[in-house]
Amino acid sequence: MNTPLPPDRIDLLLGGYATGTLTPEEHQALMQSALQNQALFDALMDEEALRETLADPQTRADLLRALLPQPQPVAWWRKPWPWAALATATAAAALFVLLRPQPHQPEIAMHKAAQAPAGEIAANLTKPVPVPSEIATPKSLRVAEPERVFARPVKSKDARLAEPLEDRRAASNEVSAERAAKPAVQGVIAGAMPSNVPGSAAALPMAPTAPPPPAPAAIRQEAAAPARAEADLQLAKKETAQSALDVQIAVQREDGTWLGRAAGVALPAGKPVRLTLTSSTPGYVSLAPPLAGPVAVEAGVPTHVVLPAQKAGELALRLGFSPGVVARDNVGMGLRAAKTRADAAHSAAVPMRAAEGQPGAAVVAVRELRLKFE
Amino acid sequence: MPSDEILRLLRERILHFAASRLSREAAEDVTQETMLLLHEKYPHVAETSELLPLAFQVVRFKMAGQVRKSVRRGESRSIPVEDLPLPSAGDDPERAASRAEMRSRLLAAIQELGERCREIFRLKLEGRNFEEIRAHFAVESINTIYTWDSRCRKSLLEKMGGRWEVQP
Repeated sequence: MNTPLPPDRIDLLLGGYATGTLTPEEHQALMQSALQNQALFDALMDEEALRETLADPQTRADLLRALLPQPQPVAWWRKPWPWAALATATAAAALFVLLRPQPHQPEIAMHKAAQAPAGEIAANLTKPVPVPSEIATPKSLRVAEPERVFARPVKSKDARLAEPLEDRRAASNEVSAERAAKPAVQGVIAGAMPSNVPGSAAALPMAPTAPPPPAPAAIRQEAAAPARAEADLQLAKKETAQSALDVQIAVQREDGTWLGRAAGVALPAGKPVRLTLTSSTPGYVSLAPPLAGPVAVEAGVPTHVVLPAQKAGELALRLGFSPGVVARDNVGMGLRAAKTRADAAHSAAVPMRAAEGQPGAAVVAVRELRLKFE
Repeated sequence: MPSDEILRLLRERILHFAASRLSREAAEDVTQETMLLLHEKYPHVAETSELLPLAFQVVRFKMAGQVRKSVRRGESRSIPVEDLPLPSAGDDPERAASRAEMRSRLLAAIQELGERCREIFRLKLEGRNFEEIRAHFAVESINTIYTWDSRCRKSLLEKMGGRWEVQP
């Protein structure tokens, strides 16, 4: 590649003269040409100043430093550290959101419910379903058959006193016999008597008793009192259970001992839970769902009921309390062991029905427990 | 080439160059003094490649002295050649100042060069010859490097005002 330059192009070597980078051949060629070429000689003479300057080590070092390739400024978004910092911050925020302690939902719900206005609570209550009432109302009140005694002509006191004693006794016995023979007047309740019913016996009609006509719809709506009474009964049962039946919760430790836990606190899943039942009155406690058999509870004596280990989740446990006489031997035992006793047999069936939510059972108190397992 | 022929050509070149910068008489003086110095002090330097660079330096100093002498108004008599010896390589305040000025001008001009010219200049300052520079740029012909370097030199000279050194 190193072909000698033609004589007319030898001036291209001028640049290498000042820096002293010409090869001996190039230098020789340049000098020979300069001797023959006045322009080249003049150029070399001019180049001498540059050569002398570049021969100075300090100047050479300064020029080299200035000519070193400068690092190009890189935009901040092309550098890795801003993105690394951003990714780290994002990951930390995500971890904080995922791992932060969750607020206790039931407590919040109860707190909100406590803060809800009374009108809202009343609006959310289930309205009683109107049912046809079998109790007579003033409009549907059928006319009761008046007793004959009321239809008898009223005698004045003087006239009665004037009658012989035997006659008065006989009349009194006759009236008593008629009262005993006649069925009780149905549909007439105290205070339900219309105000316009004449008080005199003579004014009462003597028509025979007729079957009661069906109550109009308006009257059926007014007859919703029994449903409300039923709701009041259930509420009374719960209140009674709150006061009469005390329940304490404990969790079994690894060493077999029991650790008491407050109500509402999450319980560990997979471990048995013990309920300590204390009642001011003797009776029988049944569970729904039937995680354990009905238990006889003596007044003032704590009775333990051990529930099997549960999975994580929430368990709604209803405790039905049926008061009754409990044999000393049956305290804390399942009712199956006490079935030989008649009262125990009766009490066993009743709480079971109560636990199943059947109305009309002899359960006087129902207490609900919400156990949360984690 | 015979030595006498070389000296003849060299004298012709020096006189022509000096005459382009100085007066005719001053140019003849500079040429005469230069040739006399080469003949008396450097008779052993006969090779062209050595003689010409030496002549360049002598002429430059002689011309500088001539300029200083012409500046000193009122001095009619010329300075003998013996009174103007070659300057030593030591620190001469005038030369140092001139070199510093040229260095600053060079630095400013180099910053305005293109990337390729800066790279070529850097490689030359590092002592690379044209063949190595060709290999660095991975070009096929060294004449390409010659051409690039010649253009860059002209560009640098233009950015420095057409002359390497400042005229007094």
